[in-house]
Amino acid sequence: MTDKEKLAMLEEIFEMDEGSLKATDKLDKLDCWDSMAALSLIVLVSDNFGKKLTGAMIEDFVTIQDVLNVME
Amino acid sequence: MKKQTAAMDTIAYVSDLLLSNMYICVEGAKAIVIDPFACGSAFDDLDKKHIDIDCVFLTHEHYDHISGVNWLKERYPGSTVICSKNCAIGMANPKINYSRYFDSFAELISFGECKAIKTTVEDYKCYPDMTFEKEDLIEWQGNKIILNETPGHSRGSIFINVDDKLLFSGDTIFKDFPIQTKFIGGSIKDFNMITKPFINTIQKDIRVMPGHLGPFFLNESYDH
Repeated sequence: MTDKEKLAMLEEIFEMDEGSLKATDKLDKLDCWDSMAALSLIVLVSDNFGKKLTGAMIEDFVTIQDVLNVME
Repeated sequence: MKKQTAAMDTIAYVSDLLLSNMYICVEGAKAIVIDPFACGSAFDDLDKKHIDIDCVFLTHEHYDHISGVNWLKERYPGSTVICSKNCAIGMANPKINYSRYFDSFAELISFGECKAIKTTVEDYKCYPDMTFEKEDLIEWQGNKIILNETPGHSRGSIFINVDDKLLFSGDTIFKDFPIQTKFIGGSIKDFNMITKPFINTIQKDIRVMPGHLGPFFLNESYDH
């Protein structure tokens, strides 16, 4: 899966416009980033990549690139 | 944690799981339970008084509201677990009831007095004894219990109205927070089209017993 496809998945769960999310974006600067967005991310990564994100892992995410790195 | 509510013969117990409320309503030697979690002390108290559990009602399918169903059914095999048909579908699916993701989420979430916690939850499934669609009426110990589907927070959400005095509302209405509809099966459209008009038909001075945090009157609710 390409980064572009992963970004599209994130845009969908974060309810962002298509093409608006960049790998360099900082999570804490996104208006949509809250506990529900984090839960959606936990579900996305579990269901599509078979990985279990812990709360600690999510708290360590700084940029969207950090999120893309676990989407493998 | 045990909290005596203002309502008659109704006691709220607060779980460690996102501070969800379990309610036990006692009438004579019988009781009903709403959104059970495993809490030995609560049921030891009932056993000492020879009070039996007749019915267990579930406001919706999320893990923090159903975690005690299997535990309670083992302890009170004669009890009847009742929920909506859609709730039953979610209860049997660890993705929809969020048990699969619960420990990660619990580490992150905080609201009001609720603080993030570390916990370990395995995939969890449970099953009701009885389901309904749209509305059901149950006569229990001289009380009229009306169940209504209230989709929005989840597909299987319901209100449990006891004698037009108490409204067990799950996570559909709160005093200080809007409804959260971003869960799997949640729908702001369903809330606005089905549940909100229904809420408007309920008398405003009914005491609301929410799934988290303390009780309030319906006219004090955030979405009122």
